[in-house]
Amino acid sequence: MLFSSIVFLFYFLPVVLVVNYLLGFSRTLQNLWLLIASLFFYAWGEPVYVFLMLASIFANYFLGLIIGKSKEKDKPTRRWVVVACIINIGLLFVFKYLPFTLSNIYRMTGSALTAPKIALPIGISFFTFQALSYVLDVQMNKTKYEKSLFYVGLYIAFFPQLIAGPIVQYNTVAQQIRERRITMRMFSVGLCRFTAGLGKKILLSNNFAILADNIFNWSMIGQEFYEVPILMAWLGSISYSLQIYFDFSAYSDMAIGLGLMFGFRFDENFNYPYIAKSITEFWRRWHISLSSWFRDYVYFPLGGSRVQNRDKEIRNLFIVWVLTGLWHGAEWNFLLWGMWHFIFILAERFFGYHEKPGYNVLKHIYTIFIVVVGWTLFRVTNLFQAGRYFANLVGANSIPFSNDMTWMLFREYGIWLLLGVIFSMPVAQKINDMLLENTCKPLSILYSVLYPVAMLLLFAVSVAYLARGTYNPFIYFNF
Amino acid sequence: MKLFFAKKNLTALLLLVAILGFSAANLLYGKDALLETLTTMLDIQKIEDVDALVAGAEEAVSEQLLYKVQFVEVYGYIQKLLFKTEIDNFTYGQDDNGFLNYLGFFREEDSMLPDYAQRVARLKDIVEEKGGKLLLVTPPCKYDPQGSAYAPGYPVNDANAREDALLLYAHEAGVDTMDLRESLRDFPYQERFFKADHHWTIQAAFAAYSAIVQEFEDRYDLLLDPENFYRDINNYDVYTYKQAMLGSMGRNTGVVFSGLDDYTLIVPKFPTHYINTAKEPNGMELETEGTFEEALLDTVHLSTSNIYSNSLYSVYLQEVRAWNRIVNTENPDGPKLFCVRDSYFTPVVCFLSPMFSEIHMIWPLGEGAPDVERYVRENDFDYVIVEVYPYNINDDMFDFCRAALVP
Repeated sequence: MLFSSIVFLFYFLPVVLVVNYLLGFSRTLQNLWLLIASLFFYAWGEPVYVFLMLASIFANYFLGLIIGKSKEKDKPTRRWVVVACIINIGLLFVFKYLPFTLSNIYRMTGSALTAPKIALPIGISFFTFQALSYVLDVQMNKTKYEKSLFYVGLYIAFFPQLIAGPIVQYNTVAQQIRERRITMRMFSVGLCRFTAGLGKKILLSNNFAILADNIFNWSMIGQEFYEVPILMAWLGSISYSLQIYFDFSAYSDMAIGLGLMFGFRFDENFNYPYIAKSITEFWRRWHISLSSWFRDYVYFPLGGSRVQNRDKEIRNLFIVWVLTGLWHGAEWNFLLWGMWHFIFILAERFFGYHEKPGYNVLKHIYTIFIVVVGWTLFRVTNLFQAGRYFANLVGANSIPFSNDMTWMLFREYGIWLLLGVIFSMPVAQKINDMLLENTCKPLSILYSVLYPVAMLLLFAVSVAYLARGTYNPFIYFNF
Repeated sequence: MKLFFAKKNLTALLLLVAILGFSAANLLYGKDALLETLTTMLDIQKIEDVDALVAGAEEAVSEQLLYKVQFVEVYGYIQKLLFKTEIDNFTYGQDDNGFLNYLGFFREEDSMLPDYAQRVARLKDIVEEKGGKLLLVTPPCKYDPQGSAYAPGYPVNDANAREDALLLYAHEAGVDTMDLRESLRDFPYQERFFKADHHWTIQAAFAAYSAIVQEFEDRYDLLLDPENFYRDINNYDVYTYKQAMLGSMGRNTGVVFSGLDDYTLIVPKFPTHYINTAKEPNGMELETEGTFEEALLDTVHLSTSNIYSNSLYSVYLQEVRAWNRIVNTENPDGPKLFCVRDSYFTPVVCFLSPMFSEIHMIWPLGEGAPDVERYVRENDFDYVIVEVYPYNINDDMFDFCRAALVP
């Protein structure tokens, strides 16, 4: 079930909300209700794989229990952590990476065999990482093991962050599962955040998706049949960069908003990544929960940057970026995308990029360029198509600079592109802060009065787009 | 900070009321349709049934959404505000004069076009064996490079080339062809098509009918209207319903975006009497008898105020049915006509009806349509018209005489 759907907005969410508040007298019943609702939410789109998720819940609950109890008795736990890693990573490998691995082995060995086609369970990378986080947190003494199977289930399956993150670490919510408080303020901020996310997804992301999907599809057809001029290719890459940002951050906004509505505080997942002045900074602002996960459960355990020599530091970084690339999808282009970012992060670290003051505009242009080129690599379906697309970007094979259709796309979508650029910067946040500091000023009062009207309008317009049945892609199937 | 939370609280309260209120209203309003969908799909045998159940529920919920029409209008209004001319990922595009057309970035070559022409030629052979004549008629494509006004680079789905090719192949195969684009060349584009419907106007259909009668006279020496009586518009009552029609394309974009069209009804003043039998979508045959208005028109569409669910183009013979037979009791000695057609031809057939004793029609794309080849073999027709709208040129439309005829 998608957040940006009529079923979710007007059937699922109201029922879950109302029942949750009716059960306010009992936290246990509330948690049970949220678990049932979350399983229903997942089963709506994955009626078979919901059992896979249940299996993951059971396995990780018992492993957490064993590790926790062993720790209490000072017994060794390492082997159980290895078992947890094998089960979780194994699950991910079978469903996500096995067809890719086999097809490459067959290709290399010249075998005529074809890799099996296995449907990827939606959100498997998210819930697997969350599940593993629970076991590892218990192992690392970040948190106590959970005695209730239902609570582990709720942590792994909780519907707001189930299919598109953020990846919540168990230690950040363990307390909240048992002892959260739902206040009017939390609910209000949450609902407003959810509405803003809904608007971002439906109005911004989906419009950029139209541009990006069409242009990348035309490139796939090949120059012999469909020409993608240089300007159009860049328009496609920039549109995709805006699409993935607004889509992903919108889902995070909706997830964080929904979490607040049910009394959970999730960490922020995005912080205006496109204003970054380096790739390192970009990754402090983009998909923060994934970066944190790899930092806490891979990079630091490997030694991080506090190692004796630079070779090990590079090795640690390399491992993290190989995993980051592959986490996003089982294809070579995802691995290359991870390597692309690794190279620039490494270069920034070892050439003292961050120590050089000034050149802010140049630094920003550099960052955006690297990120946009990276997203292009990310968006193509395979390396062959990457070659085609990059040929378009640089005007290889006598591709013209632009054509009439390029300008038509600008005419039709220019306003959305402008809005996308504006809202990818913290303009709204700055205005909000500026007005908040002058609460007595008429402008501030006017803003406060107009805010509810604007949010209601945003919600109504979003519903209008949904009711009309406009283009509404879901881009997390690879994750 | 106090103001900050007061603002958020008020907004959340309003949003909550909106969500819960709208949700409750939808549950009350749509529960029957939703329950009906669910109960019909609850017989789950395999996992695909669960997927179908989910998809069915989502569709039912979406279809039954309260104020859906108003939401579509809001959507259309926003597109207007943004100066957008394309709708829904380039499904429809509006030209500078407000005419909506289908869009498409590329149109795949149809390698079957020569085969379609051969099928028509085979049908022609059967008709001629029985002493009849066959004419292939193609109406104008709504997109007309001379009449439509799009900026360069606009990806209009142009079916003219396909229409040209079909006519060429058919001509090559020895089929008599009639290109109505040529016949209507002098008919102003603005009056030729509805702005927000894919069909031509009734006036254009009348002009096309006149051209077809002339074609029969010139090509087959068939004097259907020697006195030029039936083709004289003065012998018809012409009623114009101003701003009354929201076309098929407009229903997807809303009135605010596409505007409303005038609808013109043309009804003979001279005496007529018909028995019209039509195969309804439920498979039943429906018979209506009486004058042109009573037997051929479904005037309920004229009195329905809901423009969003009502198509005025359906006034003539309910737009299109899988099979129709019109018996003209006023002209029992007239020739018999058989049409393989789509909805474009509906008003044309109605105007042709006084000159023929019987007109039979099959719409191959219709559910339960009779087999065209068998129908022609089993019945005797003096004339056969195969009419196909350029956007309907496809394998299903030419679902007859697929194999070479056995001598």
